[in-house]
Amino acid sequence: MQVPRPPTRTVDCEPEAVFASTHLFHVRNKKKPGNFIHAEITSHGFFKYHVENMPKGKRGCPGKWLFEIAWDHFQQCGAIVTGIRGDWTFGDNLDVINRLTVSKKMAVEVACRHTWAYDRARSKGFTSVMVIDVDGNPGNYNAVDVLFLP
Amino acid sequence: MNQLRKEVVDSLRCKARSGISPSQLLRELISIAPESPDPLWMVQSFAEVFCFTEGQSYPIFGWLPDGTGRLKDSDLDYLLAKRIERNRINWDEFCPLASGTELCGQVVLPKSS
Repeated sequence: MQVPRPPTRTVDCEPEAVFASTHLFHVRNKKKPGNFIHAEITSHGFFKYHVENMPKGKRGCPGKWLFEIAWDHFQQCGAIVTGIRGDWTFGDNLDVINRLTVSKKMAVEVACRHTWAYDRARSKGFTSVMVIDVDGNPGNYNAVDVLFLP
Repeated sequence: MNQLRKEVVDSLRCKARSGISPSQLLRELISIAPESPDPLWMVQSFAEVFCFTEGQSYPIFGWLPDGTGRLKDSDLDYLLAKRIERNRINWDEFCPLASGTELCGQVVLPKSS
């Protein structure tokens, strides 16, 4: 698979496709080991992904761009995406949820709308939030499983 | 895509049934990896062993065998043990022995060629 060209002004972004099938997509940056996206269409037709650009900084392929090429890939394969799944057990999205729900100052459903993942989902028309499961307590969740729906 | 050998899959399932922790199972997987394993290989291998079809093994992306990952062994064990158990109906029926413990004690994971 020919990976689309990275956006201009990116530094040290040399993407290569490891998998690009009708249900699985994995692109990594040859120049930065902690920079990749792993995405799949699950058995329920959900788009589920994990994207990283670690260590954080201006180097590497932008996460937003990686999300876009994964999404475009499945669209070109004819995938019918019924939801976008977020299953967060670590990382920025979970950190946001925990920061916003500490002392119960915000409900987890509302906090989900403040995540990076929600912005990505909203950009594709998936604006409804369904919290499938949580593990832990407000401000200290170990896991949040959320589904973004049209 | 990964294709683990059947005896490897069976052995890991049996060890899971006997209570071996997910982080320990991952280290066993790593010990038989054909080359230096990356997180993708571990995520896919675990999905294959435990029949995950909804990305349940993604927490492995946050774990490193040397303990320097964002998820420590105890974190990973807590998260994955629940998922393995929840999906047991899908992988346990393929386990070759009812008890599993005898086989688990005997099988030595072979090195992949």
